[in-house]
Amino acid sequence: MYFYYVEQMFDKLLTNFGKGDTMTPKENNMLAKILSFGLTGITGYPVEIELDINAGLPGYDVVGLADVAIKESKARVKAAIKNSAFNYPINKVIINLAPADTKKEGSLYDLPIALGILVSQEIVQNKSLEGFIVLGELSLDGEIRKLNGILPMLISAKQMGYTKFIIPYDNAMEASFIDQIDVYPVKTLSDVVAFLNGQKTIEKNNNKTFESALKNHDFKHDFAYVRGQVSAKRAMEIAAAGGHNILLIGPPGAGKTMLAKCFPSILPDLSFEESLEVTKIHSVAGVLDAKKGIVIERPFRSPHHTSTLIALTGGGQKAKPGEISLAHNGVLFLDEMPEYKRDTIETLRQPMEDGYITVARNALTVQYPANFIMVASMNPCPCGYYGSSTNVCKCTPAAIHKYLSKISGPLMDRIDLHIEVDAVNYEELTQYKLEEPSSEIKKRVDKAKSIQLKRFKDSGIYTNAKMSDREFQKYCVLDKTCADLLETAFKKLNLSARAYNRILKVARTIADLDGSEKIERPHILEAIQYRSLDKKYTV
Amino acid sequence: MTIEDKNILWLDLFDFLTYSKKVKLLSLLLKDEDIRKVFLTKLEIRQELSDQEFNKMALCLDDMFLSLRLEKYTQDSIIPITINDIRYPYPLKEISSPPLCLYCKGNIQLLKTLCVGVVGTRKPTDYGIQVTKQYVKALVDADITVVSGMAVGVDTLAHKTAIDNNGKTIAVLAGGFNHIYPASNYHLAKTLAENNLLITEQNPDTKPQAYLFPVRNRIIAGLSRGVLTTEMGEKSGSLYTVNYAIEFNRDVFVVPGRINSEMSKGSNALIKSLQGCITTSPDDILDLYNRLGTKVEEKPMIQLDMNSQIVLDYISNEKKTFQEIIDYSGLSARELNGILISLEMDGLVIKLANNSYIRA
Repeated sequence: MYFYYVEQMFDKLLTNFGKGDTMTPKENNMLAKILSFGLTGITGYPVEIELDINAGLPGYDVVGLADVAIKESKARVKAAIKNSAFNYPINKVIINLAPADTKKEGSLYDLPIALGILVSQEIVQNKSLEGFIVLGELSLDGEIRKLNGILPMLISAKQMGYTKFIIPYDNAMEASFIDQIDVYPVKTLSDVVAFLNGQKTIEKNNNKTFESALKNHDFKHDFAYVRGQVSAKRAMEIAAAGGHNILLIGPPGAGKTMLAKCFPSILPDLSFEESLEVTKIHSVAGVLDAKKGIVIERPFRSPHHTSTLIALTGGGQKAKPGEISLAHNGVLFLDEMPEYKRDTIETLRQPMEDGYITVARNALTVQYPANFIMVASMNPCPCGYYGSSTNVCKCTPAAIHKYLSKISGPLMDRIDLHIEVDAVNYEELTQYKLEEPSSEIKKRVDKAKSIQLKRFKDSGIYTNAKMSDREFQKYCVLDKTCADLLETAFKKLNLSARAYNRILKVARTIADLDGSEKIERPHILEAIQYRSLDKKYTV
Repeated sequence: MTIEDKNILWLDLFDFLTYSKKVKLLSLLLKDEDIRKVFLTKLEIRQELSDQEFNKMALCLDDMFLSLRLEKYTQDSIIPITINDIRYPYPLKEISSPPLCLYCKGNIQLLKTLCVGVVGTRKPTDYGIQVTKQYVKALVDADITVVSGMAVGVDTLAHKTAIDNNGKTIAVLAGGFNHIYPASNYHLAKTLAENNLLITEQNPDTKPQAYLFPVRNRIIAGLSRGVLTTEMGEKSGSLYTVNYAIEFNRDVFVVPGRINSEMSKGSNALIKSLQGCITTSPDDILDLYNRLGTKVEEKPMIQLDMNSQIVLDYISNEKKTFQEIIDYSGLSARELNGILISLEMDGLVIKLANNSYIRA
């Protein structure tokens, strides 16, 4: 085998011998430079791919801290070039990914490497590639496959002043929401070559507006289809309006999960900026819907209770975003909360406070946003029927206590609303009654939300739930009668001291829903109703 | 402190000694004889004890040993009242196996008041909660001391209701004061020790072992003139209390329950076997003890608005869920939340698990 190559090279040398250009740099020291992009977390950085094709034993060396996927590009690039009817050089190929000290990963450099090889063979002119950022994975037949993380890379690149991009066709939708850049979505390697050589035109990606994506949008779950459960619906309305975390307690079959699934339908619409933040994370994690290209609905993530800590917070070797980051600007639903491993849910405490999580791994430290509303559900006891009107609970008091104590005080502290949900009886279920649709509830939520946005203008806070002590002192002022009312309530209902801030914050949101400037008596009374776990839960 | 008191207190320090053995040992002594002085010499004492027991006890003969303990009791404000003490409750002395010493914490005057035991299931239903609250309130309003065992369920509810109504209550613990059981009632125990009373037969370091609970129940029965069970399952520990009450010739009051309720099987079975124990109103008890009308209930009239009155009228003695109230009254969840919490604060309704309500 080697002998064959050596022989061929000798032939080449011999035939060229005496022509005078045997050792010219043009022929034997061919250098190509192609720009591409890499990602750490959700921020991109430019990667320059340098190719050097040199005389020597045929080979393919990748340097610049490339991972296995990049090293394996050899096979893909070679096959794709040959199957696209181009020649693969029988020389030594050295590929450098600059900056050389940052770890790079993924298959996104297949296309730039292949183009680099073609440039060095003068099939493509280096000049025509100037200013382009090239991204794409190759399949063996020369087709270009979809990538993860296109959107965050394009956003970062745009900020750095790059304007021209060649990306896989399947990522076109995702890229179409960024304006002021030229994106050329391509399907095959030969298309790219023809395009760069001016033999074929590729349509520039059409820009889409966010509003157009929002159009014709319909939620899968709607409160119109939830029978009864008036009190739970009301509590969810408050939670949505003020960004409060909420806990649903009830026997199995009460409809806790259904209520939770409807929750995103009453949340305020995502703004474009919020949507981009979410899309970035989803793009990096590879969960983005390619047809939609952008996340228009607030995300609803419901990790199973067997999920590991890393799955929730993010991490792994590549420091990928976890469920709490995927739920950014949306809802994190923890079904059957006490079933989660204790250390798993306890890790939520810090991100819930900060709104982001820092994932530190051996190679890199990444910060992912994690600003979500937590909706949790739980049974009142291990068997699920404590206090149920239909079934008899068979748990011992100690078992109930143990079950409830699985959720620590500090975590409970971060949940503003507790609401008990009972099973809907048959009559109610079968009765035809028009329930209020989500769109109606959403209107009220939007109104309350706009009041809050105005109130917290320029303070970096968007919801009542996130009020810091300073805002709390300023906006949760009570008059004498209300203060007295709260005091009696604390005494008579044995509320714990930690409930105080929660009640006032929730009362603030209820007042906002009412359009009231001041927190009034009914607002406080209703807010107290949502602290059932602070009262003695079991006798 | 007399020598007899000291003898009892010293014997109480050894948790391996059973009640009957302690009584036996004490009976071997002559008047004014210090057990520790004759411990090594008296043959009868030696015969009563195993080698192991004897060796252990022989190590503690020094007077310092007991006096240090007594000092510690005073420090922890524990008052040991032995059976010879004048403060020892008289009804308790009457029973067949009176505790040799009662360790008390709190207001020991309560031992001399008229006591009624309130016992029941650890897992009361909404009915049980309602009835217990109702009876206890009536009892304490008539200046009767409520005695119970501070267990989870009806016991705890009885103590709490008594405290809430500024009544008198005694908790009889199974273990010693250093091992409050259940631990969730630690704060309740603290509150009780302030104005009310905690008593136990065991020295403070005794752990509450299973066999101590029936033993404790005999004190509840012995201390009380009558024993009331508000709700009792089939194999309830409260049955011990009731049986002791019958044995000690105390009055027994049983609140009947629904015949198909799991938590009322014990109560109903009792009613079947004990004729005349049924009680359907707190007045039955007050009447028997001539406390009827001792304290006229002066409920301040609360002026309710129309919606609150509608809701209150609808929430009768049957449990009503939030949804049912909404359907009946046609109020919005927003309004109803406010109404219910103010009714609860005024003590007119009780909130039960699962967002349901019942008349207080």
